[in-house]
Amino acid sequence: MDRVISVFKRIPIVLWFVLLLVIVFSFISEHYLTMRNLVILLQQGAALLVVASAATFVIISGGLDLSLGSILTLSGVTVALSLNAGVPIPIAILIGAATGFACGAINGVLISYSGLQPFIVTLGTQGVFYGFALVMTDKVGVPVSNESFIFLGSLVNKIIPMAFICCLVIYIFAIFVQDRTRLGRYLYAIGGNMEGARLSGINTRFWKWLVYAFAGFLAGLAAVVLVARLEVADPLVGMKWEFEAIAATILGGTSMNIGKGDVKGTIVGVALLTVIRSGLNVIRIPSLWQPAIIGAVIILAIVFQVGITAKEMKK
Amino acid sequence: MSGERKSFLGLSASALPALSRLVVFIAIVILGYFIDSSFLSGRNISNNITNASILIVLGIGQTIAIITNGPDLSSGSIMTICAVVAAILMKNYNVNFIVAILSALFLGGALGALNGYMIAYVGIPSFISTYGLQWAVFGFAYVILRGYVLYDFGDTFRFIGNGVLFNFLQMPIVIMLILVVFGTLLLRKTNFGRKCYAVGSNRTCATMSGINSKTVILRAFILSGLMSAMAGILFIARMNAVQADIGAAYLLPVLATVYMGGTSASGGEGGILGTVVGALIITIVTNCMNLLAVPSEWRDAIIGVLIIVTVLLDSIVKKRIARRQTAV
Repeated sequence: MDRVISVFKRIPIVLWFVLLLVIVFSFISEHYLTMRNLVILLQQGAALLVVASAATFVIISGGLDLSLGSILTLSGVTVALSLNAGVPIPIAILIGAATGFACGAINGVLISYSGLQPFIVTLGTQGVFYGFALVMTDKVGVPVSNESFIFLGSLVNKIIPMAFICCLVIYIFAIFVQDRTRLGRYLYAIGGNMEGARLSGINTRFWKWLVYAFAGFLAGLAAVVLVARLEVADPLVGMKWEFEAIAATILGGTSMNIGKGDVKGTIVGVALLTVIRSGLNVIRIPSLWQPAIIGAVIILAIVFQVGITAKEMKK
Repeated sequence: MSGERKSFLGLSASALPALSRLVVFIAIVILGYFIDSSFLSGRNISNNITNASILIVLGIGQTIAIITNGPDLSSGSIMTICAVVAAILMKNYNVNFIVAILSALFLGGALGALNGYMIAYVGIPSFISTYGLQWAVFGFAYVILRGYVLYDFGDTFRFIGNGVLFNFLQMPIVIMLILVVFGTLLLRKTNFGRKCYAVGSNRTCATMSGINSKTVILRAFILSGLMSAMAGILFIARMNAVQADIGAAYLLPVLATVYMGGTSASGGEGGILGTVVGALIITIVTNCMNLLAVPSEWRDAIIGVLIIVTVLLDSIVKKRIARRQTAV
């Protein structure tokens, strides 16, 4: 019995909240808890899962990346443009990932090697990356019609969520990097005690740079899947994504101050955001209202979660 | 100790950053003159200062927030929703414009208090809580206005934005100057101002020496909210119209303004007079971009680069000065 209770206690509160919401919504609408709707939910939350993992890496290392949404946008634009120029799919995907990596690397150089505060650097580069995306697309979305590429984000036979499967693979790769590689281990060392990490012989500057570059790389991969699902690369598609990614990270139990957290927890935060968004449609909230309500709910949730995390820290 | 160390041309080390800003300012003015010779006409200068006024008013609040704790990334959105609420009260409910302004200020103060509460009492870093609030507030501004544009307010109200005193002094400049004096005195001469610097440079130390850091941060963000509301009022009085996204274009410029003015990103250092110079630089840069017909999609990119370069140069200069001082 005690073991059962301890297992229950280990389930994060946010997950209970997700379950509660799903139950409530399924009572309101009989279509909510159907296979078809669940699969659509997975498709919609997929790309956010990857971007949120990127945000989690950065936050564990004690940093912040407000440019993730713009990296997502710019990578998506380069993928779409190179596909339309007739580049083979694998190379187009590589170009997208490389764009993300390059953007992240620029952030990393500015933050790690010149000691600027992350939020200033990434707010500044956010403007720059959006600028490039707008200029490259001439301010209109770039449609993608390459069928084998679109397959990567499609709902095959209306039941196999390809976008989700792709993102799940990337997510598992991110967990692998966190748990099994030097980058993952040093991540916690840098976030927990930068000076201590440096004194024990870790090249903290390089690894901090790599954290941002890797986050950019993940955002680039997310962009590939997102463009494949939406079949268009919009030059402003990434607006607010960085905020939702950070919110999902915090809801997943990652702390902003002391190098504590886990990419594995982030999926719970993503689930909560995705369920809330779908629920607003179920209870027929007009789309005009949705950004305001989602913003308010996220802030409330963060306030609660930060309170809970602070309590756990005291123990 | 033999007083302040002289470093360059007999100037004290702390005057160097201020001097470098003045050099940048003059360089940009000269550049502007070469782009278009009407740049230095009385009319263009007065227009530039009037345009800078809104940025400066926003910047005053932002400077206080950054000195005390961290950036208020929601200031553009608070400016928007206060402007929207004031406009709706005046247009749809025929409320007296003074009541409308007071309600806008109250709303700005309340939203600032919400920021301050999340930062000081819950412990969420300011750049996350205010960034989050920004998106929620923009959402609400959009809801209230339903995507419409409200325009054409009363003449007395518009005087705030378009009136001219003594045939040469534009009203926004008058209001801006009053607020600049108020802010400078507040930071330099009052107990509260000193506490702001103390909390910003080292919060633990300030708390240990008996300062209630939480209330100081709360008040700083309330002030920031009030200034944002004031900027919103100035904006609609000048433009005679309001939309649900007017403040979005101010987020990067206002940060650029404050950092360019020499307020330290890590807190506890800086002042409002620097912000005024910063705002003038940003406004003139924008003016130059207009003269050169730079496409709008590059604007944010250029301001973004400007922010990073400024802060980068600042940190390099400071490191140099610190190294020299320790070397002696």
